[in-house]
Amino acid sequence: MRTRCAVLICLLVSGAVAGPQAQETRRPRSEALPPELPGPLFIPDRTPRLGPENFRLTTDGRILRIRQQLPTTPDDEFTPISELPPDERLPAAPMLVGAYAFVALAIFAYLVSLSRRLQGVAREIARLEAQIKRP
Amino acid sequence: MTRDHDDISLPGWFLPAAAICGLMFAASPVLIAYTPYEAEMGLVQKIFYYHLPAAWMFLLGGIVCGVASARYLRSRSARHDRVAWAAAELIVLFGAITLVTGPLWARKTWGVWWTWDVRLTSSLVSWLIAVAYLLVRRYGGPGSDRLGAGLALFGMANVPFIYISVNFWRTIHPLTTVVPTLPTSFGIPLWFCTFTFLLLFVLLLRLRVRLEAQRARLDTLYLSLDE
Repeated sequence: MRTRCAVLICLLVSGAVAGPQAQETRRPRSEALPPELPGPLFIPDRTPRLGPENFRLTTDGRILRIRQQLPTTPDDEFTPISELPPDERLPAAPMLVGAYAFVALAIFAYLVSLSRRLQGVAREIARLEAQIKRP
Repeated sequence: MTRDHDDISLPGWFLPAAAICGLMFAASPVLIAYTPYEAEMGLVQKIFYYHLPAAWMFLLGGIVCGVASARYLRSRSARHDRVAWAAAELIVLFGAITLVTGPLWARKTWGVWWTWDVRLTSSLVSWLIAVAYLLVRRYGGPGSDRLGAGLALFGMANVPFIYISVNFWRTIHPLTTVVPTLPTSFGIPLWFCTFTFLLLFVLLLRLRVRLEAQRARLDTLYLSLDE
């Protein structure tokens, strides 16, 4: 049990130490030359790093490595919206069209309502005025 | 009676202003279409050009309704009461536009239709106060004019709170600093739409005041018929 715990601690420490080292930029070839910067065709290192989250201690004292599900597509790749699951697709155009259509409809509906009320009252005024003028 | 007559007849500027407003509304989508896309939000950000002017008219309606109600409570002038009633309807109209276009934008940008954020909640409260005002005026019976005026004052007190709330509370709504720092390419369509909405506000207010003046005239005619 103690041996397994010691192995786990060693693994964790080595992972923590190896992480920053792996992320360092490459050393210059000589002191006179500048360090090599990643060019336009630079492909980032996608090797998964091992950390504490990659291991699990079981109840019977064994150390298990958890297999991670790697993403099927890299992060920096464009994905067509048609390849997304239907519940994740959210195009902007229907929202925009919906918003502008609602504004137009709301103003039009209010104008129609106001016009009808104005006409109704004007008709009633004309009727009453005619009734009053009648002897 | 002269003031009633003034309210019933439309002023000479009304029809030209209505024509200009119609043309501006027709031109605004073209202007907005030529506006560059915002870097992070893209196409959906173009809701902003109608959402923000509508929100400003919503707040302006609250101020007009509150000021007219305060003047009505002081002077009991029917003209002020008409302006307050007309402005309350416009609060409901422009508030509805703000509260519908905002969530359409938020769903794409924030990932939610609605959040109980201080700006959104206070705007909804203000809109509900205007709806309450209209219900009181419609079904409140005698004395509803003063009760409505009190509600309008309460609604007006909420206006500065809505405006500054985003600067004092933690919120995901954009702050008031967005508009002063807008690039010209975004500012031109925004101010064009703002003037269009402002013109529409003035025209609708004038028409709605005319309706109330006509109703007052109708009441006078009914009374004279009874006599």
